[in-house]
Amino acid sequence: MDEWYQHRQKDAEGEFYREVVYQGPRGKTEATTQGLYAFRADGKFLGYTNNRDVEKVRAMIKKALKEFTPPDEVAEIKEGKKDAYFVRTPPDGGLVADVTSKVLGGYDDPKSDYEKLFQAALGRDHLWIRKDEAEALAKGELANSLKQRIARYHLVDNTRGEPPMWERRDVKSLEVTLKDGVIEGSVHLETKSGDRGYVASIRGVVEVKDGKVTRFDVAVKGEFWGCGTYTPNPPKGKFPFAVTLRLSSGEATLDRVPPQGSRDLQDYLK
Amino acid sequence: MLTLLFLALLQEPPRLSADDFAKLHKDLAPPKDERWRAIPWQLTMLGARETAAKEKKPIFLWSMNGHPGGCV
Repeated sequence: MDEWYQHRQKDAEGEFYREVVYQGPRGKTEATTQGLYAFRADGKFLGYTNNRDVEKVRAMIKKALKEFTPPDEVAEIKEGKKDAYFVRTPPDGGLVADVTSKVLGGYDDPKSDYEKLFQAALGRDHLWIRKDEAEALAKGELANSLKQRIARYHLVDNTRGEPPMWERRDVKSLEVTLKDGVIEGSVHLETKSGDRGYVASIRGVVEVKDGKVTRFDVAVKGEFWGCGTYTPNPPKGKFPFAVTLRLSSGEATLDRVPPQGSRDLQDYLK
Repeated sequence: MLTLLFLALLQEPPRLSADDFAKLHKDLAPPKDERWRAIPWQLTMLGARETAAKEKKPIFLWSMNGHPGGCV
């Protein structure tokens, strides 16, 4: 889960999260609690690591399993009223698209297996499309709000960590059309200082059946430069970078993970 | 004027053809057989707690800044 939510939520969900993670080595903290934890349903802590080395994670799990005995009793926790500020559900009547991104080249040779993994990583996110935007798509129209959301929140390099999103003023140009089911256009995103940017072409296909969007496939490719605080070590200079979107099947639990940009829900869905 | 137009064209990325689009879209599709996605993840602590209590199993929590199942 994204600890940004549970760590701050003032409800039963957040309370149980904090009860568990505060038993870990990070202790009671307002700083990050990220990591891998093992614990029992009654909240008893069993193990923790923030190391992604397979053997270290395996050792933590093995130790936790060895120590685990099911609790005799697990007291009921009434969910009660949820902290509305942190509730994220896909828009009613809208659509969800899977978003993937990839750096297509430009890295120096990796110095470690870990670096190699990052260099080949596929960034992932979900795009939420509002009901009115989905209805517009079904009529062959691409809402400006949807174009802006895709550009500002999804044309980001999230292959090495949490990316900075684009401010409204960073959208230097965004010219995209939808005609006869084909999306075409280009985008220029750039920060005020010019230290980060993306200039790319866009192409996609929209298919509609019985008034419903059945296909929303988009590909974006161009040159990216720069990085954010949590996405360090990009390729030097400008590098080829691509983003694709496709309708989510909605079948898996993970399809319900909210977009990273929806932490700022009001702006995200604007 | 022509120089400005030329410079603007130089900054424009090449247009994506239908073939470029199809290839890129396929290349960036997530693999269908990812083992980590086959794990019965739960999106809430209370949901995981309830299942663990019922099945008498421990809980494994993957908590990150940015959702590990959707962002990074």
